[in-house]
Amino acid sequence: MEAAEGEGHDELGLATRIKALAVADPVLDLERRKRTLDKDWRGYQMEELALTAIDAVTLKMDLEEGARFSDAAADVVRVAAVQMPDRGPDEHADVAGWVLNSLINIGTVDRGFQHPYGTVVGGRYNRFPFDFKLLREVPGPDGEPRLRAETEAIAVLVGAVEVDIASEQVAAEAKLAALVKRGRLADAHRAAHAALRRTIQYGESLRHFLETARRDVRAVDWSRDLGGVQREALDHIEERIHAENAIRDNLVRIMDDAAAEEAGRRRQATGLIAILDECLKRHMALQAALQKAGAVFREEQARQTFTAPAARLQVEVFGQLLAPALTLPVAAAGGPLAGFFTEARGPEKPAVVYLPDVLAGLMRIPAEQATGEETVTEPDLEDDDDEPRFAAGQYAAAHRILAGVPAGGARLSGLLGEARQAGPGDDTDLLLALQVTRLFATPARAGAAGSMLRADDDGQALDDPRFAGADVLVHPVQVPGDDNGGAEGGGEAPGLAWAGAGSGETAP
Amino acid sequence: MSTLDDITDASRLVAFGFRPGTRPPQLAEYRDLTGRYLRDAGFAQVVHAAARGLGLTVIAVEPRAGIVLGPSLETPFAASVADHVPNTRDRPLVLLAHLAIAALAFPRAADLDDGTYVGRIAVDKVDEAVTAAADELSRRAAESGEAGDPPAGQPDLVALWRYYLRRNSVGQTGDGRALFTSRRGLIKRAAEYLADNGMLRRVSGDAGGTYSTTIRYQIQVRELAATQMLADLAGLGIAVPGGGPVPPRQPGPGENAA
Repeated sequence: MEAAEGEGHDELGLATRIKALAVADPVLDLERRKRTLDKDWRGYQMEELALTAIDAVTLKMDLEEGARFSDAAADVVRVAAVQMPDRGPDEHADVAGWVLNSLINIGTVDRGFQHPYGTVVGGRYNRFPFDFKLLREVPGPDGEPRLRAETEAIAVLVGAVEVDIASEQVAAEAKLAALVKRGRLADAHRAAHAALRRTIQYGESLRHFLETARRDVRAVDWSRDLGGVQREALDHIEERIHAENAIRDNLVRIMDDAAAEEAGRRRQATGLIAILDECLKRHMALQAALQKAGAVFREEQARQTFTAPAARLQVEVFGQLLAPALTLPVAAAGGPLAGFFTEARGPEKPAVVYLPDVLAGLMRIPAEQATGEETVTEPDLEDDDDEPRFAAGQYAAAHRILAGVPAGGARLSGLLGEARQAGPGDDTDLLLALQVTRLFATPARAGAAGSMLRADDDGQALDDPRFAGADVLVHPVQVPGDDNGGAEGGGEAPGLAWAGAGSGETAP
Repeated sequence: MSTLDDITDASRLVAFGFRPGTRPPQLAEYRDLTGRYLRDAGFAQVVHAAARGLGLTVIAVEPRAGIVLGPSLETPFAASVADHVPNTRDRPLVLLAHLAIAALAFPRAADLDDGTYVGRIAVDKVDEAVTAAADELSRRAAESGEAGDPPAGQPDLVALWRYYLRRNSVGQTGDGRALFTSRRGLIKRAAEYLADNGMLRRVSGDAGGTYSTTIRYQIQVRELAATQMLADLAGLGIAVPGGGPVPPRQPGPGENAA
């Protein structure tokens, strides 16, 4: 068996074909998943919408940036509206959003897809996961996410995996010319679209090389990488411009010949001409980029290569640490990366451990790790309509009783007696007891003259049918340096009298 | 002055090492202690001894940055990776972001050496640079025809650059918020963490967040982190000589450019 010698040698091309099939799976999966939604979307052909979405992104992304989500969604909405015209535009927008989000695979950490495959390595069958993306979110010039179709997605569209771009192109041209000649405009329309996509693929590879050169000119080999693509793409453009002009002439003749009743045919031809115009525009853009490529490359070379070498060399973080770390497996890179983090960050004050916190932490049910994907639900707040426990009149009564505490103080039992004068069923006594309990812990301002009241336990027990405990003594105190009290008291007789009485007993 | 007072002062200087936000020019006491360390060799020895007792190394004492301490591996003062990034799937990316921030802040070896150099980084640029390096590795892998998928059930064996490229660089959640587990979200998290700990200074919100480096960060990377990681990598059998961001593959592309 030859399969035994190579590293993951795939003699039958099974892995390649499995990968090609896997890429189609997310698209087909939409059709299966639509039934599991709690919405009646059965009438929509989800695969068609998905291909429309991939089409829209592929055609709208240009040399520099990706397609806007809204632009791609608009195309899908249009097709959705054709499929289900009796449904509202809101539902069409929902469907389009769902299709696009599913193709991005929102909700997964990496926003991609995975499919298992296997190859024979060293005589043994090994399984591997194949990771791929269909639509990838990339940053636009304004920092907002844009969409780019990945190579895999374009492959699904064109219907062939790992095709030779150039030969496909020649075939497509011949096909397009033949179709137009035979007057099969609908087919010609489709073929023109395919040709346009291939032009975009050339643009993609050129963009990639230039971007790499901009970062590091040594990473690109001009003669092999860029020069080759440049020559090939220039030839391609030249041929395309000739071909498209010829087709255009052909089309104009067809339109002129078409009888007045053939309105549909005329419309088709007009649409085809529009696509060809788009093709020409793309070719011009690609040609301009190609012509600039040499200049960009030389400029970067001058900027990057001919700088003076450093006088004294230390560690070069990018070249000596980052670049090698990227080649390591995630598991092996963990140690050195963690070491770098700890040492670059410096020492940290360890958090002081509080035992009850540790216990609570150990007992807590582990929370789902936040991925940032969760929908933030706005809490629905209602006005608090609870009845207050005590009525305003009861508060007033309790306040009045406490304000009436004489300078010498009063027993809680006496105050409770006053509170119960209103009669049975009224629980002003409970309110008063609560307020006095509060005074026991901290003196508080009570009473009209702004004096401070305080409750003290002198050992006497409370003899009361409702409450038990100490029969505390409630008495006014004067807080030294209390500006409020001083200002309000203003040297009036009661204030002074209370101060005199209070200071003797409780000097804070 | 008594020995006990010396020990108190030395410990105070070490304690300042835990307050990266405080610098000698801001505080008279810190300034005096720094000055004394630089003048008085005996006092410097006491400071070193006090730090050693805590499992720390005095990397530098500098009039502008103050005392810069390096944690040894055993010390309880070493920052915990698990506390910084509890999610294990995000962890390699955040740690890589820390390295990439240092790499972009000091693009040339000379920048790391030059005490007056102030580096500037932006979240978007860090992502772009790492993406470019990863793309290049991806292209080489494609050329050599290697599949590179890790064996099923052992996701940890995937190369770090594949792991990086797999995550989207930006993203939006279903309800239109920016995704904080995207690559740029994680880089931002690392940069904010460094800024909170006095290693970076926030400059502006441009390009996803722009930061400048502090002297302390430069010293920490130069004297400890970079050299230590170089040794770690050498231990794994990877040694790259200095001289270029990505090692050159082919000699002189320049001759063919014309």
